[in-house]
Amino acid sequence: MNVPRVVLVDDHGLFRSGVRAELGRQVEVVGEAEDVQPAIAVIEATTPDVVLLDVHLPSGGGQAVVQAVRAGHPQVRFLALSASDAPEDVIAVIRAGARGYVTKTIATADLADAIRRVAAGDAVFSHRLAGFVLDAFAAAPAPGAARPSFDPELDQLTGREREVLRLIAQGCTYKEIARELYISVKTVESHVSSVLRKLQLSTRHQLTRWAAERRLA
Amino acid sequence: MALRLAVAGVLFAGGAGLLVSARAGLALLRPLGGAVLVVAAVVVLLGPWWLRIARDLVLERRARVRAEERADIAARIHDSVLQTLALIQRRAGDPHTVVQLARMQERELRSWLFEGKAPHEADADVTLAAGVRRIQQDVEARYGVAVEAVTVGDCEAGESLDALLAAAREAAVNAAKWSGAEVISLFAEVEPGEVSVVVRDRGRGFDPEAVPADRKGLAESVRGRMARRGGTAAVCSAPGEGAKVTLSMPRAGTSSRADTASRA
Repeated sequence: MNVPRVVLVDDHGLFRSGVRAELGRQVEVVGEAEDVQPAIAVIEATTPDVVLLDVHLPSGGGQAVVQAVRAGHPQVRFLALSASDAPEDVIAVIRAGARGYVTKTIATADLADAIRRVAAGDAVFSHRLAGFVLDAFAAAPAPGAARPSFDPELDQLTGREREVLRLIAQGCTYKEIARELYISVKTVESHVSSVLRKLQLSTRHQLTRWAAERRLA
Repeated sequence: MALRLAVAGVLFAGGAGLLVSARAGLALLRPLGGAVLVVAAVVVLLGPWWLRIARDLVLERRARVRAEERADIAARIHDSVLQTLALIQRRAGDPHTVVQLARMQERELRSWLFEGKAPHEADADVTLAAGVRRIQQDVEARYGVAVEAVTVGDCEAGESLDALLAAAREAAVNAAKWSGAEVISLFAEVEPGEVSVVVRDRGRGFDPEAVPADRKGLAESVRGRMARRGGTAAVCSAPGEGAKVTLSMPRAGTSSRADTASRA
């Protein structure tokens, strides 16, 4: 497989150079930016495979970058990265269209793997994001209390999706999940992608409220 | 100012006049009206001054609160972050310790910033999430192994939950001591009917059947503890395969906070 072309967007120069050095030849860094506007310019100029995007930027959330670029360049994929793990930020950038989320403490090998996965169109969830998602979708709607906007197709996780998320939350790799659930890695990937889709499209009221209420570190 | 003086003077003169010239008939009303006018005069004269004093007082109090907050933050940062940074400088040659210090400090800072908990503050295990967090902190501090904890939902503590947490702690300590893994995962989930905790490591693993009968850890501290409260413990491991301990405890009418998805 070709080496993914990557743009790094983070306001900490130290972090950018650190990632660049660590990833070495596993990716090709074609551009860097430290804020929303420069990021949009660099991404539009280079059209990378993957943008490694900090959730927090000086002039706003990373979702602004995703929203600005997505319409014109749907092939550019975003992997959100943050140090804070604050769910409202993470959910915002995922809902804006990022294909995954990892924490900045991620091991280099795992980061490279996550970038490859996102470049290939898969979704990547950190163990913590998996926990968030389970939590956000946990509350089954009270029987009979379904709002008009409630769409069971989008607003609920299937049993299998919950199992996969639980295992991600336990730190399992896709391979380990596949083995444990007796399914193929491809199936695991498709479950995660489907969860991502629900996360992005669900109009579920709780999702927003939940993210706003909860401020886990 | 002149206007105010004039108004106050007129009001005062009127009120005093009414008071002095009290006559029978209206005798009851007049002193009252007079008093009202005198008070009005005083208010007109001194009102703005009082207002200013009150405003100054509020501003001063606000400034003091801010200063106190700043001092408090400075003290906390000093006690925690600066101390840790000093330690890190001194131990720069020992990457393992540095990582451990940085990790502990990060957790502490996070719990203070995002959960409003003071460092070293007694963290009473009133909820499952608090209990899980405490296991995470203790095991990391004592055994120098990273613990990645995820809690889904939350519920109030109770006797059976205490047993569950104690068993989970034992399982995590076991993993930290024997598995050789650098990361242990701790996953807790509150469901309508039960609470479960999974402790997982990718360490050297063991044969659960071959554990000597005199080793109390798994048999007594984990299985026995769970069984006495009506819960179950499943140990899944093989040499070279890591280990996974799944604990589940039925919920007996404890009030769930999972349905409201409230914060942990």
